[in-house]
Amino acid sequence: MATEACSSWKEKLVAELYGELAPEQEREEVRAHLRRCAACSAAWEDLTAAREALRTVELPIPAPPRLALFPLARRRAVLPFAAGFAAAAVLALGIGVGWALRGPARSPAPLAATGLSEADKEAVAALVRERVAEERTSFEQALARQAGTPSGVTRDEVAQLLAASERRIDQRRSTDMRYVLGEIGAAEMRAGASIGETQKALQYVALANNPQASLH
Amino acid sequence: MRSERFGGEGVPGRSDEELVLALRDGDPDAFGLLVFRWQEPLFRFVYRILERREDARDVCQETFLRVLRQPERFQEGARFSTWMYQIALNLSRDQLRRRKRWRFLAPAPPGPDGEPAREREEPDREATPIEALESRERREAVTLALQDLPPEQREVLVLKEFEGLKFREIAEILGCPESTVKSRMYYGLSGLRSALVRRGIAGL
Repeated sequence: MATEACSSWKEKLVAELYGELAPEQEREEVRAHLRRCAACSAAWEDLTAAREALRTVELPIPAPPRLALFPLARRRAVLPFAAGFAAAAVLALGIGVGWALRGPARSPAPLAATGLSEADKEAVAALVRERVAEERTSFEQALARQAGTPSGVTRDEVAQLLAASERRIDQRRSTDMRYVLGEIGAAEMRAGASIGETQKALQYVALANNPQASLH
Repeated sequence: MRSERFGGEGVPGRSDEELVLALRDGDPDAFGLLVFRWQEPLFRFVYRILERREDARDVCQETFLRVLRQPERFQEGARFSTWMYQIALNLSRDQLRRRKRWRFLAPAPPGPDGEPAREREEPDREATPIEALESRERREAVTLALQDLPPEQREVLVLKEFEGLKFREIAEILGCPESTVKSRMYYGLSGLRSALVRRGIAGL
């Protein structure tokens, strides 16, 4: 059994053990006490031995498993990454009557998606078409519901609807961006590459983040 | 190594704190860099607490996701690592509590799970079989002794011995006075020593 040190000295012994006793005077006090007190001296030996055991024994750590940040995020997020593409396309197409009146929400530089293969471009375009169709349907349904009410739908209401939709899309896109970049970071870490080297992946991200992206 | 990777490629070597503030302000690149820097150290730390690879992975994932979702919770002027350790530690405690609750269904294995250790952590190749055996016994004894410590002592011990933090920093992470940290450290080391003596591994 380890020997118990005097209760008023325990913390000081520990601090001295890790070289965190600041003034020389305090250190000298501890050393003097250790010379006088058999119990503390024995306790000091125990503390040193325990520390030595920790330091000399190499405790194995398994290789860290792959972090799955994206799938986890996807499961909990409102919409998957693909929503970013849809959002980009919806904004680009500017459906709805109020759109033109509002002026451009931002003025992004046009993106040239060079480096993507034709098949990649087609896959992205197909995805976008599909999501846009979904968005459009749900938008039209919402509009129809509004129109069905006795008062009909006013220009202001359409504008509000569009503004809300745009905000939602913006939020989704920025969330998606964060997840995707985290995932790319994790992937590159495993591959030993540095951030920014995966040009193609970054282009996809840029596509998702740029409403005016041109796919072809 | 870090500065090589981040300084050389046109990516400015931003501090962790700058990165988390950038993340808060909507710069998504910052998150990838933080994960890149902290994934391994964080896993090591959590694994020392939980001793199970899958549990440690889950806690690391959740820690990063919380950083990602709520960067605004980071208090300006604090250290990112302190905040991250706090999150990870709270999640690890939850995990341990859950484990305790379900222990009657699935008894915990006696040692750390059987994940293959990295090669460089194998004992010295020059060692004789007896020395190798002794070194393995010592390793197992220390691992078991660590597992037997009360969680609060073990946390302090891991943060001090393996993470190399100052008592002041540990106190900040745990949200308790520095004297409490030192006291836990005393009893942790003392308990470890007793357990090793009991197992006949006195002469280390």
